[in-house]
Amino acid sequence: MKYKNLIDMKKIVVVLVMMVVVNGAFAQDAISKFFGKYQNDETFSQVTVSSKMFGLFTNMEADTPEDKEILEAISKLKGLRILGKEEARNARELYKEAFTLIPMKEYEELMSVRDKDRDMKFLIKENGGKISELLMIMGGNTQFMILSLFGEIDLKQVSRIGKKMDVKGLEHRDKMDDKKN
Amino acid sequence: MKTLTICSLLSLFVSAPAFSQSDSFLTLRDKFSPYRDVHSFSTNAFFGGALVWLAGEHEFFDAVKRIKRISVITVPKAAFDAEHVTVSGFKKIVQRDSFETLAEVKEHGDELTFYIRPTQEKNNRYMILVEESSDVVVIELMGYIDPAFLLKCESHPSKQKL
Repeated sequence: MKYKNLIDMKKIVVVLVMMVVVNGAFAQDAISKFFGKYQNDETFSQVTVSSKMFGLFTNMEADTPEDKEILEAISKLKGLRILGKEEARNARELYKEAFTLIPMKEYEELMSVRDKDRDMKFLIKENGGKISELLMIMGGNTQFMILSLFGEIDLKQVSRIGKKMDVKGLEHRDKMDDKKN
Repeated sequence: MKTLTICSLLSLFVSAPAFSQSDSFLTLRDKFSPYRDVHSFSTNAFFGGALVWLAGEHEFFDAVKRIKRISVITVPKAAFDAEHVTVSGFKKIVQRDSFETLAEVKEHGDELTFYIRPTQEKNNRYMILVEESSDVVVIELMGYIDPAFLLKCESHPSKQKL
């Protein structure tokens, strides 16, 4: 009887582990699904920055303590992907489509911006109390962009990193500090 | 003794350009140099820097001023077809040559891949592989580029200056 319980217990653990693994794999796929769907579409621009690029900042010397903080924050990033389309008549539809393909329950909404020209949403994914991904989705009248920044993310530094990288939209992150921190 | 010194210096000077290019760059150059419309050149930092400065790209000049050598080759896609080789095949050679991918950019059907082969002494090798509809351009730089400038360039395809 004892052995049967032990075997049943093992089975439950194996099933649970499988569920976690499969869940993780699907979550990864869902994000890639959106990039994958349009990566061969020549009307889209696509940028992929590897962890190697961010690693180059590890040994850089900083002039000020502020610069040091930014360099540390950048060196903890693992990657950046941007998919964008300019002069897109279907920008609003792409914006809506993004939310159907992205597993929204995995993310927490940080902020949304809406004006006459565009809608913008910032989402984060947390892992063990740390932010592991920042997702920015923007749909305008003629512009669409989805940006995924992953690694260990320090929200306080995101707008500064955005300025360093000259990525439009990340400057809005300044407004979120009070909300999250 | 004088003759020996001059000969040694001369041989060093003559062989330096060969050493200043990576194996993958040399593989590409050797394979395609017999073809028409294949152009390649290699220049030192002074001349390359002067061109960049004259072109008014002062921010670019500041970022790449620690570059010691620049080599460029353009190969028509037709030559790749004639040799029954592909750009993806060349990318594998680049990776076997210890280059690591820093960033990839795709825009209007063109693809740009940026590689690095880092060293401790800030004497890195950078390779930029641009695949356009009709040509493949490979640029190899030796020296050091400010990573902040690289990140800025790669995150903003419309501002590509390299």
